[in-house]
Amino acid sequence: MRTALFLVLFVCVCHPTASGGEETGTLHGLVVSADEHQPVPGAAVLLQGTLRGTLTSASGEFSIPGIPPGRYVVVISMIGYRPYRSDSIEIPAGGDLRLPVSLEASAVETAPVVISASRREQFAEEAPVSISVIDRQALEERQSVTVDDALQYIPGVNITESQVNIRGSTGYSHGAGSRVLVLVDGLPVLGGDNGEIEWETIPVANIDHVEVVKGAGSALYGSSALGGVINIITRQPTGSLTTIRTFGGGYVLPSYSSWHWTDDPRTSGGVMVDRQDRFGSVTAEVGASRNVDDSYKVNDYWKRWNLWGHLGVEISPFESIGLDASFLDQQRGNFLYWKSLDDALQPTDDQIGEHVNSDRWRLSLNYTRMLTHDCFLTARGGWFHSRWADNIPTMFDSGGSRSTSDAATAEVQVNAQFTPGNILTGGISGSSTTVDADTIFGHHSSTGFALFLQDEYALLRDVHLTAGVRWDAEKIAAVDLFSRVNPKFGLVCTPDDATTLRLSVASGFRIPSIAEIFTTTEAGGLLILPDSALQPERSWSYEVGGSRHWSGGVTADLSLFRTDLWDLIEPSIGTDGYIRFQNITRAQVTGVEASLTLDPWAGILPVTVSYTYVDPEDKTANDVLRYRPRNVFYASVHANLRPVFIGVDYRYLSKVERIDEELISLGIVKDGDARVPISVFDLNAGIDWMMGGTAMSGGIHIRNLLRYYYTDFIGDLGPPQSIVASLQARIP
Amino acid sequence: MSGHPVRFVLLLILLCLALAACENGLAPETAAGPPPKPYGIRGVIRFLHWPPADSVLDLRLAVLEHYPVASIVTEVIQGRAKYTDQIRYGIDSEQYSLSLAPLPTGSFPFVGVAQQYGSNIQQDWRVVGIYFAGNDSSKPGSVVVPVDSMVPNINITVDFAHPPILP
Repeated sequence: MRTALFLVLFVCVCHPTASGGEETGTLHGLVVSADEHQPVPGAAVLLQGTLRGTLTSASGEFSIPGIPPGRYVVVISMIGYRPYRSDSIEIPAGGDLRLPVSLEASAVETAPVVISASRREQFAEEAPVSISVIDRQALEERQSVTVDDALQYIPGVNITESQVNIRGSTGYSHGAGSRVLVLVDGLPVLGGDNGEIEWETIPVANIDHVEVVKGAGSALYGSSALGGVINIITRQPTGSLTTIRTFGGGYVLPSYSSWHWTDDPRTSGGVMVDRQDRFGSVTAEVGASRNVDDSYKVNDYWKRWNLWGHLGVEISPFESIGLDASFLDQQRGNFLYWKSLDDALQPTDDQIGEHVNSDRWRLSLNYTRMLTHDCFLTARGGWFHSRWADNIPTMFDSGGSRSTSDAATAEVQVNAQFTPGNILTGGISGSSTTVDADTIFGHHSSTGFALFLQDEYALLRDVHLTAGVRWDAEKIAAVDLFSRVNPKFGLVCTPDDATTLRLSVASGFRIPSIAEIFTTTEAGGLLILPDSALQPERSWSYEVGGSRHWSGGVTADLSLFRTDLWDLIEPSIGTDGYIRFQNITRAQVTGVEASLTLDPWAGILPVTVSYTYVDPEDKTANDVLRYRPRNVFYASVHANLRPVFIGVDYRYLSKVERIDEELISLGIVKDGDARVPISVFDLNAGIDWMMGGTAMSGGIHIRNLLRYYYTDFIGDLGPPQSIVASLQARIP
Repeated sequence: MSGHPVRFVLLLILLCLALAACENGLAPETAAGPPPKPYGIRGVIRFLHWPPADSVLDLRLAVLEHYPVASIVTEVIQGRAKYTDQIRYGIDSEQYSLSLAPLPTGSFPFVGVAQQYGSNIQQDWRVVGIYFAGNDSSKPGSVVVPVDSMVPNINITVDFAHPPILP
């Protein structure tokens, strides 16, 4: 594997760059909307089956230089429009070709361009795994304050206490590690100490779209991609634009008087300002937001500052570099469990006055260079700093706990196409983490290294094979070296333009977080102690599926899947009577997922429904896995009668069959067994208008329209109805 | 294939809306109507020779589904036991009533009083009183709890100076 990787790097680096080789051609174009003939900025332009692509500028124009002469199919994709696919066009040697394109509006993107499935841009349906995408429009229309808020409408995905459960494989990992890898522009954003997803760190205003890859992804991304990968792609500035967005509203009093605990209104609100500019080959963006939420529960408030910025330089048509930064400052109350079902919005008395303050930084640098006509280099590095402190007393820290962690990642990746239909992707990755926490986690560091290689090969014209492998090694101080090889295999068959069949087999693993290995604390009178014998969790995912488009905007997708999991880490009481995180559970999750999208009137009334059934089997306990609903059903209908839109989203999750019963038995969570299926409607409505040269949008967002009461987690009532109004101005 | 599937799905969503509108989900217990009739045990615990207060960190009556067991705490954690609230220190006697829901009705082979004497909440427990059936003190007395019935006279004497010897 190493030989092949170095061969790729050697060939690419030694090959002359695009500016100096054989005579090539250039593809120019202008992309406009079919209805209003206005430029479409930010549209993705790809030469199908190659690595070549670009984005349209603010004026809707694009240019792809350095194309070897030959015949190509051009594909253009943009949120809110139907994808465009050209006939086979001829790029002449040394000549230019101009391609004018009109995109038809559509609220449903049937073939989004994704980057996460193969570490390169491709259409989602060309990937051998299931991928779902949330676009920027959906984030805005649903008034999503954090990314996890929007993920709850992705087929097969549900959220438990901010942890993502993909097709039942990931469940809930007790706040000390994530079985889903979360990336921002390809770099991890899991906390260095607890391995948790820090959703608040990621400013929603800065997001272009979110990709959710279902199934194990460690063959490309390494640890934590046990059940899937979520890659958050930030927006790249395309021109001069100031965006101001504000929202405000509050929670409606619960229907039952015994749940009323205050006469004061419980409000939520925020304001966001973002400015992006383009100065020739330089792009820049800076933004800030302030969000405050009183919460509907006692001592569950949060206050948050987010700052972010971007600086990008297009050094040449073949080379660019970008620097991104974001900052979070947050104060929030502590609400672990309710007092009882009768006092469901109040925590136990000991939690009153407890709070957690945190600040987090994220810096990333991304460099891309076209080394040759068919070879691209990407180098990226990131630093994620997290610091939190609470005032929750334990027998070890009477004044509370604190932790500071720094996680740095750097990687170099090469995508190369040596022959038509054969794309190699390879790279190296390194990481370093330090944790500085007095007692709860101690002082530790870790260092990791990885090599990965993937080949996408066209076996036949309509059959594409993907094979890849990644080797990871990580050394956590005072613990054995963790080393693992994760392979993957995929097959995509497109018997006709409308049908795609896919098959994939991949392995995943998750190295225990420093918190799982070293936690020393007390919770509910129980002592939790370190266990340096912890081993990584492992998984194998299998999927066979297919999708088909019909005329009239009908798209259906069906997947059969299975995930085998070994050594799942859970807190458990040892023979000495103390709790430790231990490798306990062998599990198997099998299921089926079906989704249907109907968009017969080009975006006027798109309808989507999806259903996921999983059989989450805990083979160790001979029981069902905890925190996994068997049935997940989502439906949404959005009426886009521009300038007015109305959308209704519905989600149903069957009652979770098994939870942490120990917390009930020990009397830590009174009435903890009280739970029901989740059946929630959300309503979003809005209107767009122009005021001078400013594009305005106003909206109203009603969450939990029918005031249905349910638990998100054991002893934690989900949000009752809330009503929020939003107003946005886009000033060129 | 254009119009009909959309109408079908819209109808499906409307059906969901109608069904969901009929259901409010969770409600406080006080709003959920009369609770089911309890089943369990009741009786009197008498105490002799209290030790110093700092060695009685906790004291509870516990009922086990199975006996013998390796650890009462483990049985509690596994949901195979029920226990009372903490018993006050220094009292002469205590009348108790313990609902056994959600444990299944039937035979319970152990009813006893356990004392936490040290700071290790998992390990530092000992049994200081056991319910014996009749005059047979050779093994814990089994209690049969029928449906909808609170079985009376499950009385226990706790003598801290002479804790029972567990068979």
